[in-house]
Amino acid sequence: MLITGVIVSGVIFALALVMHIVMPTKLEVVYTLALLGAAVLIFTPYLRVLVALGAFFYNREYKFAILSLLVLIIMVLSLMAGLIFHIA
Amino acid sequence: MLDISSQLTFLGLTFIAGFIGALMGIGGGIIIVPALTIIFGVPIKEAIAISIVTVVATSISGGSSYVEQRITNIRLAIFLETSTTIGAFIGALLVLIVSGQYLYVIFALLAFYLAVSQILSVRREVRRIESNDFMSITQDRVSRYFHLRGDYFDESIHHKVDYLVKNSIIGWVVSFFAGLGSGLLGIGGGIFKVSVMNIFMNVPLKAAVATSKFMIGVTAATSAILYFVAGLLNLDYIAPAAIGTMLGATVGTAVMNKIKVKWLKILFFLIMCYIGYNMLGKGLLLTIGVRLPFI
Repeated sequence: MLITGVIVSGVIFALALVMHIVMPTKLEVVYTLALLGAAVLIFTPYLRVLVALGAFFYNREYKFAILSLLVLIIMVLSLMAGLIFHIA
Repeated sequence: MLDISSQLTFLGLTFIAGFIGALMGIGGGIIIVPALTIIFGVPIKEAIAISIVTVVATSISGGSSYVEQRITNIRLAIFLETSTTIGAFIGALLVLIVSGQYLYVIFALLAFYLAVSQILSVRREVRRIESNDFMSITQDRVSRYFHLRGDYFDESIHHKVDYLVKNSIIGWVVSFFAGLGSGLLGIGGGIFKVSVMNIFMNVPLKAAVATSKFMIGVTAATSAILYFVAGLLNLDYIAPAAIGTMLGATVGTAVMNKIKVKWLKILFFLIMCYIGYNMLGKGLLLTIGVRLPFI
């Protein structure tokens, strides 16, 4: 689960470095890849908590499902605060 | 855009940060931030943003390996994560209105206190691990309610170590402050999480390291998203930084469980002293204008 996020973003970042070496003039491609890699990376923990939430719920461990949900809510709040900060 | 050779130098530096971070259950920002600001001349706020993204990178690559090795206590992580993310979120918002100068001094004192506790508890922990003595305590009500306990296989001494968690309330409160500090000062807070679990909550050091490694990714992603959508991320450094820390963390997690706890504790002591000194230096500089050597 987590490892998929690592591999996907790792490959994208490696691609960004290779592109930079092979085609040093095409900076917009390098930047797009770096941005994409960072996005995959940052969203992986979001997905990880979501999966934990699902697993705890499925196993009827409701105490922990609620705790995971709380963590997820704060993470989403932070995302929204970032959006507001960006607009302001 | 950076030239290729400085990108590779930076990749090497972040490899070391990822490696040490994996051994200690910390993010490695204490290495990456000074490297970026001093060697590469990156402004401090950009350095913090890059560092926090690399913390996510090292946590998910290192953390997943510890989950597979069954050293991570996911229940404990989720429990403490509720307070630490609230702290990180409030801390990140507080950055806009208050300055962290007095916090540096407070965190420095805490770091020195924890450094001394680590070095003083070496013998006791080694003895307790060898005799599997982490079960003979009474749990408090909260720890019992959430069934906070765990076990892992210690490869350096070839047997299973079981443990019960205690002092959950204290741990929860200290985690809140670790999160607050991480949001305010741009530190990962892993060093405080590991110490809290190990010293107050009766969690063996290796289990604390693995659990912290898992937690810091969630905490760091919560602040990283703020920087990311706010457009504060300098894309020049992200690719080499992420690859370096990922590789470093992979190597670090492969060797951590094979190292004797004694050496990990000593490494911890040294790193905590360095962090304490660093923070004290920053705090004194900002509050009374005194400059300590090497700051």
